[in-house]
Order: sequence, then structure tokens, then C-alpha cells
Amino acid sequence: MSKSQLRSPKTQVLAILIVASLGISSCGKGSNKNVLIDGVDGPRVNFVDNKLTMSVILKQVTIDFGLRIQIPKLPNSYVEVGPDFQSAGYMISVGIDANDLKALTHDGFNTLDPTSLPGGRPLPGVVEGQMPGLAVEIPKWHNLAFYFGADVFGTFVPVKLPIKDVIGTFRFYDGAGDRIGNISVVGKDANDKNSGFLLLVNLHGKVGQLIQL
Amino acid sequence: MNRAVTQAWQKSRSGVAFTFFLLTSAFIFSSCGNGKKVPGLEGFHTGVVQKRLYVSFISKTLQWDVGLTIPIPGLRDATVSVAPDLSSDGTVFQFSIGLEALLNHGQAFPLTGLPDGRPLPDIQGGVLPRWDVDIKKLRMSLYLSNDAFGIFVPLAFLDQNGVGLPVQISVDIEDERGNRLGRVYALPMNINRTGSGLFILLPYLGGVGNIINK
Repeated sequence: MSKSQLRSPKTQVLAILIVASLGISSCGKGSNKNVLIDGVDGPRVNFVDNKLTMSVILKQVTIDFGLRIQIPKLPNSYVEVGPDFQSAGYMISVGIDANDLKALTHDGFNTLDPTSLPGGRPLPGVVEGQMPGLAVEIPKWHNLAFYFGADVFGTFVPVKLPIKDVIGTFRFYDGAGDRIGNISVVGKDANDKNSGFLLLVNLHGKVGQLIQL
Repeated sequence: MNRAVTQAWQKSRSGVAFTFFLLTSAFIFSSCGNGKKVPGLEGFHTGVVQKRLYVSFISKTLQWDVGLTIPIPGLRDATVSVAPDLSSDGTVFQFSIGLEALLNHGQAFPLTGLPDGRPLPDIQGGVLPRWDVDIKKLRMSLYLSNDAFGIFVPLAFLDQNGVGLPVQISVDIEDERGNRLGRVYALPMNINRTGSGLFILLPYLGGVGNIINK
């Protein structure tokens, strides 16, 4: 499909309709409920043992291996992937240690390269469009990325989505209904790649207190 | 058009500096100078990365819980994003356009002023080629010429008592070295009590063609 075709009015209307449907599945201002992403259960954010954990189940992905790896530059933090036995989907679990976050967000984040979305699009909801970040390569699972700002932790999880060119961004709430960040449903870019979701957590305020930053 | 924008801005001391900025910057931070502030506007950023012009800012006066990033319909290689700000209740606006598309968008946009008919500030004749784009119920206007890039976003500048902005406020956009990059205007309502908004003007003296060629 050529770029001109992608920019055709028909394609635009389709894209906007898809995002409009995403909007309907969110609950609007004041409801404090998170947007539902087709094929995705979660993400869920919790705070356990001075760790910020994020877990998500990809219901339409089946990969029959699991592994747990340390995140580069975060010695006490991990990414774990593997089959989810309850749903037959694929679970991604991330645990970020508060001490690692302190080290990166307060002192060391400027040692990381400025990073935008995989493929180069600006980070939505971030006025600079990019943040210090690092990529984690997992076999058969490319472009898992992490972002570390002065008061922000984020992750991009690649998921195949039937959306092209469009990104929907929603406020993100924790289990108690408190807003702790943004979640973006990222459609494929002009190269038909790099769809997924972007979760950005604001470490200023409640989250920072919970994990004692 | 070249002359109109150029004449208005050659009074500035730093047109060359702006071109230099575009040529050399990689998403350089810029801020509004002289201690003046446009009400409700924060975190203004502009720059060129990999031959794409980026302009972004936070509006504190608009609060959206749901936002969109879409290609600008009818305009090649250009996107607009309106999304909730991660760190506040405000809303982040992001625009990006390839410099090549900016120069050769292949369309003759109508020469117009502000959406309510008032002339564009600091532009001789008060008009530039304009292209409107809607996100939800918000209609934004892009001004595209070989010599300047402009954005108008309709915003209400109301104080705590609900009183609108009494006069136009304009603030220079400067980079960290104090080089003048452009100007931001908070425009008050017209006599019909409509039409207020934020207008950002970024002239590029020397022309965007020079930037692409280099």
C-alpha cells in the first residue's frame, strides 16, 4: 500500500473509526477506569516489596517458551515472559526495583540515549516527544523498550494491532482508581510496524510514595 | 509571501541564528523569554530531527482524558497529536511535518488569516496559506508557506473569575542561547466574544529549501 493510499480519505475515516471505538471502550472523564485493548488483558500496575510491577497478558499470542532476564543498567529489576496457563495467552511481567529507579531517574538517566517510540514517532503526552530509554531484546520479541525520565517510568510493549497510523492516548489508573499515568494504544507506523501499547507512569506523587523513591 | 514574512522578521536580530538552529538542532529545548508568559501555555518545544519539524507545547487550559495522534488528512507526512499531559491535568499538543512535505505539499491552500477572519499578527497582509485539521471537536489551523510555519489552536484564556484575556499577549520563543526562533501569541476574543486562541509563528529566514538541501 502506498503512502498516498494510506492517506486516502477512506483510510483516514477507518482509522478514526477504530480509534473512536477505542474511545468508547474507555470510560471517559471521571470514571477512573482504564481503556480496554483488544487482545490484551491489562496492563496492571502494582507496588510490592518496594518494587513497581507491571503485568499484561497478550491473549492472541502463543509462544511456548518462557524466560526471565535482567534489564540492562537495572541490576535488581527484571522482565519475565512466558505462557499464561490460565488464559493460554502470553504473559509479560516487569519488576522495577525502587533503588534502580532512584539511581536512574535521579542521577543516571541522562546517561541513556533520548528515545522515542520504536520506529521514531514522538512519545504521545510527553512534550519533548522523547525520554531517556533503553531497549530490551527478547528472543522472538522485538522492540520491548523502557523509558526513564526525571519523574517518569515507561514501557512500550509491542503487540500486533489492527490499527494504522493512529495513536490513542488515555489516562491510566491504578487498582484504587487513582491516576498514575498515561496509556497509549499505538497503531502501526508508515512501515506497517511498531504497533503496541505504551504505558507511562508518573513517579511524582502516589507512585513515588508507595515505592519510597 | 517571502517578502511579507521576511520584512516582518528581519527586524529581528537573529534570523540567521534561527536557520542555524534548524540546521543543527536535534530537538533542542526552547523557552519563552523575557520573563513574560503566555497564560495557560507551558513547556514549548520546537526543533528539527531527521528533517522533520516538531512543535509541541502543553495547554493548561484544555483538559482531555482521551487524546489522538493522527496523520493530518490531506497533508502528506504530517501528524498532529493532542494527548493528556503525563505530568499534569493539561493537554500536550504535538505537530510534526517532514521538511520536504512542508516545501512541496503540492497543494494551493487558501490564503487566509485567523479562523475568525482577523489578520495574522506580524504578517504583512495578515494572511498565509492555511490548512485546517479537526481532532474531536477541536479545529486547529496550520499555516504553511516556504517561509513560515504557523499553528492556531482555539483556546479560552479565562481567569479565575471567568473573564477573558483583555489584550493580545505575545512572547518571543528563544533557544537556550537567547536566539529568537519565533513568537507565541495569546489572542483575545473578538467583538463577538469568540475566536480566542494561541497562535505560534515560526519564520525560517533563508527558506526551508536551504535546510533540505543542506
